[in-house]
Amino acid sequence: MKKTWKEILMPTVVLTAVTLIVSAALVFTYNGTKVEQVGDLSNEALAASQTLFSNSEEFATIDVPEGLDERIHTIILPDGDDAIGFEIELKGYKTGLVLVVGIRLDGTILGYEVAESSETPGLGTQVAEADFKDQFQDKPASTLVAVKGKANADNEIVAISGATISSKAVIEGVNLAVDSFDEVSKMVKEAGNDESN
Amino acid sequence: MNQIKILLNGIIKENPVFVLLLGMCPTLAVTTMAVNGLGMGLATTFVLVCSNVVISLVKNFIPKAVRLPCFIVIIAGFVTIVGFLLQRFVPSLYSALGLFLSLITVNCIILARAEIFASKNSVGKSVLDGVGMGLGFTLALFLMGTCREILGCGTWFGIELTKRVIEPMKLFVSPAGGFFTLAVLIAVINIITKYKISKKKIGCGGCEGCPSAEACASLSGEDGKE
Repeated sequence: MKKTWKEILMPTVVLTAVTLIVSAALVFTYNGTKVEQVGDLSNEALAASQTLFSNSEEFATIDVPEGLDERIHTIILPDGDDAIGFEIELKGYKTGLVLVVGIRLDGTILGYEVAESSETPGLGTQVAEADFKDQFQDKPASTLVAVKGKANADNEIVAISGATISSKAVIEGVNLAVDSFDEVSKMVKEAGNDESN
Repeated sequence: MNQIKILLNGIIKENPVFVLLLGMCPTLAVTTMAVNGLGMGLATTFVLVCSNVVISLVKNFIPKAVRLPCFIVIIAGFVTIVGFLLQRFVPSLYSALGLFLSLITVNCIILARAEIFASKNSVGKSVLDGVGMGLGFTLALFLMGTCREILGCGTWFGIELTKRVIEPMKLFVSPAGGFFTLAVLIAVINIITKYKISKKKIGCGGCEGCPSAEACASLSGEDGKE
């Protein structure tokens, strides 16, 4: 059966037109909703930083110095809080547990926020909740250990029952930040001095 | 009251999950927590209504030969827009839905309603059908999510219920638990409605090319009364 020109052309034209219109709508929506990228920070890490450093509007990032644990992806400098942020990726129960850990310049732990996680819903995901998170607040920046039941010392964190692996991963992430803090804060101070010279 | 009938059709008589057995993939995958099920249901409803409206508006301009590709492009466009909106305004839900947000595009419910209803009915009716089917889907996901979260985590929408009293059964947040919960829910609904719903052919597109054709014919064949 021979097809007329119209029967061949029209479907193609219409499909192309539909595709172009939909694409235009997508471009419009994308530009209307995208979040400005900050340095190397992913959108999720940026959102976590905004929650953690509540006094800050702008964030600068600096490259991680050589020799630091490779799980530290970025160092974040908030403009309104006297603290340094560390974007750290860990393996909890699953890979892809990304935290933003904040250490205050006076050497105490500000806390952390979970940027990304694939942990078990209802169990490992509890590491993002205040009950567990708040334990870290204001602790002196020293190596922390996981315990069950009750914390008897300042460097002990009570792991979530049923989510020990996720809890330990977060504790390790915070410890990474603590361990790296001295070196990084020195570096930041020197960079600050260089700029003002 | 034709309009109310169309609306209620999707919620009860032809509930897409429990009766039509469509959209199984997200039903099983994102209902580990009630809030995720609810969020997915609402996102799908939004896409369903929007695509129904647009397809009903352009139904006379799209040649039959390319109608399915055009439908898919329109549906995919709306799913992408929902993705952008969620990523910006509700990032917690965006990361919870993850890959399954993009899979709304191939959710059978949306393409089925586009082909069966929206491409053959007015915009007003298509809106009602979209809302009805979407709400039915959301209700189903909400029920699934509630059962799986309470039994599997002991919480509901994050609020602790039985968590500290009864040991939660992790089975229910696994895929196996999803299948099991869905089977029990369908069985319960069938018992309550005494098989009445699955026999009626209201609003279906006819037997040709329908995946449930065999099951449907044998059901109405067994009970000659309907």
